[in-house]
Amino acid sequence: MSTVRERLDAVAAGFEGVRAVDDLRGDPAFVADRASAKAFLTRLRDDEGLRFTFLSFVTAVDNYLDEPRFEVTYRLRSLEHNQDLRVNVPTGGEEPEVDTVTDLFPGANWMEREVWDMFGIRFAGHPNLTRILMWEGFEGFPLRKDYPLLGNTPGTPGYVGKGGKPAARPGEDAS
Amino acid sequence: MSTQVDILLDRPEQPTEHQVLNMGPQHPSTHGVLRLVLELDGEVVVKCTPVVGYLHRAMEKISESMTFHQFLPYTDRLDYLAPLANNVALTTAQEHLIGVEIPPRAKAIRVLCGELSRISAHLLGLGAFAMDVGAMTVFLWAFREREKIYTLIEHISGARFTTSYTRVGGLANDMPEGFLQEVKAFVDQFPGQVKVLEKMLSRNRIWVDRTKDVGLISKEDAIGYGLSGPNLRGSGVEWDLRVNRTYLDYDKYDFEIPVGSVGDSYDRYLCRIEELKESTKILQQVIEKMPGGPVNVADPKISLPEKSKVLMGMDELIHQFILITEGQEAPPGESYWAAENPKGELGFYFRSKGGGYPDRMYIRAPSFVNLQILPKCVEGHYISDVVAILGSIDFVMGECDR
Repeated sequence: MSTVRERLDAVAAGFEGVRAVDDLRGDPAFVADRASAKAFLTRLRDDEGLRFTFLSFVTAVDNYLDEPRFEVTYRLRSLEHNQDLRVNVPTGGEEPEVDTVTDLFPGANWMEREVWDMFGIRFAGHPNLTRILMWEGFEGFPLRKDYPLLGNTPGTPGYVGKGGKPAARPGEDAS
Repeated sequence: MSTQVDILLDRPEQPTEHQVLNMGPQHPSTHGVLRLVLELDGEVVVKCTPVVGYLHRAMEKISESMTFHQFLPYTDRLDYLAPLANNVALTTAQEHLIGVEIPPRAKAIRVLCGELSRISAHLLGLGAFAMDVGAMTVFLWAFREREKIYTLIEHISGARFTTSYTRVGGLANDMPEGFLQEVKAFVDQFPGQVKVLEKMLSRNRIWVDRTKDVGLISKEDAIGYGLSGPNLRGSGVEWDLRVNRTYLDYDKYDFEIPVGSVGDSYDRYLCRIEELKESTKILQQVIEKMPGGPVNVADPKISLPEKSKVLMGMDELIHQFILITEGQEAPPGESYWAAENPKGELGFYFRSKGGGYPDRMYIRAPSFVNLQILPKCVEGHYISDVVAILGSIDFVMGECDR
């Protein structure tokens, strides 16, 4: 176990934009900037002493009102060394974007689509970045903190228009 | 390329046009509301595009405005074939975040719940798989066994289906009197039933023809696509969180991880059958070794107090009030914990800012991840094999869409 940790620290030290952070429950955790994240993940996967080949999940966190606003979280696992780790990549601005890892881990495809669907974070180089859980044509990104939890949003099923009347469907008169 | 019709009618070769076929969302063998857009060349699938999300209920968004206990009933509706296992997974993940160690008796009962759920889920998976391929009897016989498990689950949690049995720091209640004898009666007769199921399928010519070398998943693909559970092990990867990340004292029980060799539908079927036997073994050991003692931690900041004391004592009333309204205090930070559920690795990722509500909760749903491999599996197979491969991957849309 400890040898994997040492190797991890040595590898992380070789990347300028990567720094180790403390984790609540003691797993190795890193924060990487966008420029070095892809190279770092590639190295974690291919390094002989690490072999983090299993991508458990990709998700994002919205730190609303903070900048950078979003953090994309990757959780990798080395089946050989029985070790997990977490890499966070902060991103923000008007159009948050990080690089895709679908070429490294084919399983990232749907997870990145889900992050795009729910948070509106783009993945540069993704083969098919479309909505997955919501439908095409849906507006807004539901898991952002500024998306209302409750409410009566036009365009969603069950939307009730003014005066408690069901909204007009396309092609119907909105009387 | 000339189609079969062309050959039969002795027509000259014509440029073939691919036909698009919509399978689902309301198709009996897509196991829920899954839609597959199949591009066909004759009867052969050229391209498959799964469309998911019909059952999306925004559980992750809902969880952000709920205390840890309040979210528990939602997990009954994740993998609705194994609600107890989901309860155990969520609560143990919350305890991992908060930093609670539960008493040994609670751990043993949670193992009991998890393994009963595994048997129940695998029985349905196998039954539905066999029915899709045409063996109706297996489905009905599997359901007869599931009914017995439902009776057991009703006795321990009070509900057949929406169990919500676990609590942070332990369980809602201890087992009822005589429950272990009931489980023992079930466990004693169950291996015979597994044998019957095996006899129906394992050497059945139709079954073998329909599943062997169908839906191959290589070891590299299984790891690359992040598969988990019997789908990963069917491809020959020896990985089981119960063993590799021992939790709930699973290391006290003696059991093996079944692993496939080829990675086809037949291997995945064999893995599930073997897991039924291994789960039975674990259940037997749980019954023998069941420790005594309380089922909840004594910390009043974690566990709900006894109801009779709440009505009589000031301290207990305050604790009850605070726990219900504000929830258990979690430290700020990030944590991820996963359980080996019947379908695979069900994990919960928490981002906490302190307090009783998670700032963000992500559900790592095994069905969602496992389903991704489907297009790769079915390409080049006949439409009828799509159904067999779907059954062998064994997913639940309630969990996939969350």
